Amino acid sequence: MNNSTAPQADYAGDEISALVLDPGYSTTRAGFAGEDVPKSVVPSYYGALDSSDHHLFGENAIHNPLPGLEIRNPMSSEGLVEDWEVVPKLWEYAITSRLTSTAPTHPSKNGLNNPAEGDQDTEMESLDDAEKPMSQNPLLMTEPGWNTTKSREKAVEIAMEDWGCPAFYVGKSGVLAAFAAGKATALVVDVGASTMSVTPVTDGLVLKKGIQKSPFAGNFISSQIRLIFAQSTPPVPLVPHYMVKSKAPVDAGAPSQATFVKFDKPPAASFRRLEEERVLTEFKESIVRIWPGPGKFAQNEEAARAAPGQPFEMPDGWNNVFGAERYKAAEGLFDHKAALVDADNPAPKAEQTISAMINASLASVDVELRPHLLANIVVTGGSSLIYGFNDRLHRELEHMFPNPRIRVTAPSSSADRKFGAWIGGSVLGSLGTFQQMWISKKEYDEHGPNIVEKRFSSDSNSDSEADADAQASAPAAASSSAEPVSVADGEVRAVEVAGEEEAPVAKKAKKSSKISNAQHRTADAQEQPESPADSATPAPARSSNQLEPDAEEAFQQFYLRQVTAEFAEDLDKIRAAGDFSDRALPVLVGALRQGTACFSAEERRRVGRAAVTAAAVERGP
Amino acid sequence: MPPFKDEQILLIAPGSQTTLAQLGLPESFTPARLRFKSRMFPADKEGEYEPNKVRQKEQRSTGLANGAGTQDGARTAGEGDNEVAYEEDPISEEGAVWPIEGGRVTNWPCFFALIEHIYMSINPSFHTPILLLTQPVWTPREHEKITQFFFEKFKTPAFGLMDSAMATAWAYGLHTATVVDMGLAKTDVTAISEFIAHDVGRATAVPDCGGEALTQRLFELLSPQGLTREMCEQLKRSPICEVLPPGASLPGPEKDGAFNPASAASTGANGSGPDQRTSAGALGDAPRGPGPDTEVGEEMNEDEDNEGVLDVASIVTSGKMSEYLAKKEREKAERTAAKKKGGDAAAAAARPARLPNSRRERNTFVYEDHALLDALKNMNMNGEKMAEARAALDEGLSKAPSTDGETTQMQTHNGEAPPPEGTIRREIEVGVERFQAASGGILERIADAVHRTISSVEAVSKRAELWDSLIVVGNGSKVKGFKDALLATLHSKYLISPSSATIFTSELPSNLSTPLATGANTPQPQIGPHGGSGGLQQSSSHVNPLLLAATTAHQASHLHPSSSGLGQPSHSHNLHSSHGQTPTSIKLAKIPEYFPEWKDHGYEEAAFLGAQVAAKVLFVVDQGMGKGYMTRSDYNEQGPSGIHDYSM
Repeated sequence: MNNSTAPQADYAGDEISALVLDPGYSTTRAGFAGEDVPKSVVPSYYGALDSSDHHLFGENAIHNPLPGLEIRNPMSSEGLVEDWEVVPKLWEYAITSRLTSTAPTHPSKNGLNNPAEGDQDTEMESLDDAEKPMSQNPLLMTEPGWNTTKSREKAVEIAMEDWGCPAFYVGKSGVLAAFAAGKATALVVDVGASTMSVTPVTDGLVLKKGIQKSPFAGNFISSQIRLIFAQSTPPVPLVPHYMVKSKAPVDAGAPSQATFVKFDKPPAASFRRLEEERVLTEFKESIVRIWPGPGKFAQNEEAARAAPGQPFEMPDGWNNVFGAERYKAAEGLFDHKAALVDADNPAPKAEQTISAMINASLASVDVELRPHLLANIVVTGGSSLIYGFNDRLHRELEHMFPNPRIRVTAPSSSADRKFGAWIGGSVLGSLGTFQQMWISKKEYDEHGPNIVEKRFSSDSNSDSEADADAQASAPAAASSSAEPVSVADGEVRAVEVAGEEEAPVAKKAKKSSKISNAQHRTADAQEQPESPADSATPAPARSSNQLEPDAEEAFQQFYLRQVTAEFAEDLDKIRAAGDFSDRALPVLVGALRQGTACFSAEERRRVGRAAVTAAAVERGP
Repeated sequence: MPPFKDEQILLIAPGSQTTLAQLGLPESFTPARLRFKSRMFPADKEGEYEPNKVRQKEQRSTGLANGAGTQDGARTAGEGDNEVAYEEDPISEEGAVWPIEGGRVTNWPCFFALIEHIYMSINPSFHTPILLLTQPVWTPREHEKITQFFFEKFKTPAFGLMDSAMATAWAYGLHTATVVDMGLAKTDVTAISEFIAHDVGRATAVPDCGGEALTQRLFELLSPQGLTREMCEQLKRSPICEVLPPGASLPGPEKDGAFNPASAASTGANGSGPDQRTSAGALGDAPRGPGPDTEVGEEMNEDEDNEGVLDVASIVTSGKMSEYLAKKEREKAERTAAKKKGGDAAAAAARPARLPNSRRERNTFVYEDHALLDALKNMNMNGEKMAEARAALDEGLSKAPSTDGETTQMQTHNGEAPPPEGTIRREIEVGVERFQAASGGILERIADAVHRTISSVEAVSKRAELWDSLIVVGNGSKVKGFKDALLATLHSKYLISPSSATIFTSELPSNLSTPLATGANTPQPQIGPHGGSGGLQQSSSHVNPLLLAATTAHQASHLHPSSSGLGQPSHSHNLHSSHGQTPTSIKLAKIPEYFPEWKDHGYEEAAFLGAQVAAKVLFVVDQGMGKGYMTRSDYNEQGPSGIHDYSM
């Protein structure tokens, strides 16, 4: 835990909702922490007109075929911010247009402070006390694992100085996606629009040396489709909707008989490309699939041909059946030799296929960690929704790692997959225990933008480990409680209690992923009696690294057993609550586990040692 | 807290132009009882607002001192030389502040003042739960703000928010629907599945897609002919303004072959003047008998009128009032004479020329001239003179009761209040421009928004259903033919036709030949993992395709009676297509017609009906069990941000 942060009562999760902002190449996601999907998903693409400096943001604006409209994207192909002039405006648009308000009025005029008839208590605190758009909301942002220091500092600067956010936090998207899947240790395979990445996460901490990324993701599939269209005979015409006035049905493969819209001055080529991309998205959703395996598509082309094809109709009415071609579009992700190539589209290298990247990522982490990671592969990102992706990934991995147990976890709902990192941020931002993790405005004022580097950089080990402790203690505890450690008779029962406690929760069907504030309050309350002096005694938490790991582990076990036994009824109640989902489990366990902080290092060692000894005695005879 | 009763419930539905409100739920739901214009007027003191325009006028002690007595609402008359009188003018909209623009609240003090005005004029008891319909574009933060206002200002015991798109779905009784709500300056497109609105990809407040855009387009087209914006607005509301489906040809002069011999005979008129007039009278939608038909044609030959529509207001203000009035009087006398002369002949001639509006090249509508009235008022005329002037200028008042009984086209007016006493009506004639209100690309923009919204629904399998239950509401869509035109646009741009390539494997045409005993023509069931991306195809893959074809052909002929007219093959199936793409069919949802009053009124304001249904369910049936509204004690505990747990 960071003793530099005094716990700030003001930001208790149920008091003020934090904003979660998850910028990506294709879309920018924003919403309030604690909700299950981002309320505001705006395209990262924006429109620019020659005639004015004013940029056009949002779906409504950028799909209008205005004369001379240019479409640009402020993100780099690596998913990092490139254009710092535009990005703040885009983010601000994403947040203000659907979440907060665009036009705050002055409190003296907001109609609530009118001199009331009689002595009613209509006077209230001002609703909008600010010219700054987000002065009421702490901001939690995501960043890719390979984000640069500079860009992180820039982000905090914008949040704090331009927007007046009271607090700021930045989380790695890999970690957050793992959280969204209910895991703190995972190998996150994120297939986005511009980048595919593999991120090993352990205990809520990114292992930076294991991060692998390649530019072969959604946009790559799109360009593969374009190549398929161009290389087929005759070439498939790709005409976006805005150019078509009305279409007429034609026979398969026959040229289109649509009437087209005439433009005096057509929009720029970039606009056409964006609109074509919409058609390609439809094509990806309905036609493209990945050869499910076993083996590569190249060896199975004959089998694929036998399967019936599926028809696709273009906006101009042209239609045809796509048979084996549809397996080709995404095959390049798995088989670098299968990628279609032309002058502008170089082939992926052998080490840029998904399986090679996973391999490389695993090779760079500890040997002991690898089975854990392989058993917790989390697939996220919109492009992973291509039909058959998970099957193929699973097969490839089984082929590559015959021995360890491999489990590929991918949320079935496409919203959960598309917004994985955002959802993780939403869960994290609404945790009661998380609220002390914010960088407050005061700290920022003291230390400057550099503070993010001190706090969040995964290069500086000690601090980030502290982060990891707080963020993701949960699943560690959950897994440890599942391991049967037999001690004394009485305690064995306690272990069982704990085991029962956790297991059904984990299995509990996901009814509603919305995490209610009420539940956090309970979790917090749970923690309170255990750690009355939590804020006052940061020292023990700090010194936790110096304990013998055995004793520490044993103490935790012991503590959890005691707590779960003690609070069995309350825990039952929480579990029975209608809105308790598997996402909330880590929250609960984390809250329980943090109770250990109120014992001094000396106490913990003593109890821990005693537990270890007891276990040894038990095993001895 | 005692339970709420039907008659205690207050519903408010704010809109950019009109705010609907109603206290109490009747036995059978009716359209909103109260309609407020969503505007306020700045009061003398800054930051305060008045519901009506307050005109200040100086009265000279000489002359017309007592004239203002006839004005309703005259409040004060000061004493002394410089007497200052204030009068409330319920019609004028000069200087009004409209706090909601494009659905978004742009002026909160004014918005709250409006709500307060509405609340005060209804003046409900304290035990009144309130359900407020929200615009989709309002943000969660704004919901909190509104919640706070209602609880703190009115001390309301229970308050709920309901999204207007959701309310529309309730009104239609559909759990899955695409709601296109076309307002004054914007259109909202919302995909709702299983009573949950998809926030992602929801097209809120698509600009330039409302009724205002239609007016604007008419104005663009007609301003060269001297029509003002206000005239265009009224033209849009008149029954002669229609939106034709894309591709339909505009009526040309050759179609409008009827020539009025009577008017020609009586006036010696040349050219198109009398011709046009025939159509107006014959159509009967201008509420006059066929007699005056010719008279107007005669009037058109007056020199002053040759340049089209006159700006009478400018004549009035320029001081040539008395001349002008005298001239008008003369005309009227002439007209009466002409009526006697040519009335019968005209009636006889007009009858065979009765054509539907959509096939006429020109037609007329009645224009209520508020600007002129304002101008008159500003001239400080006394009551008597005012009435005279009004009578002279008003063409509508002299009308004969409509004898044709051909008032079907008037029904769009039915829901609206009769024009207030004292308006001045004039007839204005327009050509084919009246069919081109939607020619500015508005249909394409809305269609694109619909396509975008449905395409961004994550669950691909739900999209087909969303396309099949399209709801078009909002007063912007009231223009005749607009909904059909929108549907036709969607059809021509987005509908996926059955592919001829797979027609024998997955979709059998309805004229499939009978299987022979040899089995030659028996279609084989599909093999393989066809489909897969949506549940639809899979459901069909195990069914005997013959059976499938038989059932779908049956459905197609019954469910799409209109589709064949739109140039698509009659065997368009929706559920049995092998396409993973949507839409394979697009349909407007049907509203259950339980409520006769609503049926007469039209379902443009269906959101209000949905709000009534919801209010009944939430406040009376459910009594707060389902967290449909926030009680005062909830508010005290949780504060404004608690509303998100309660809103619908």
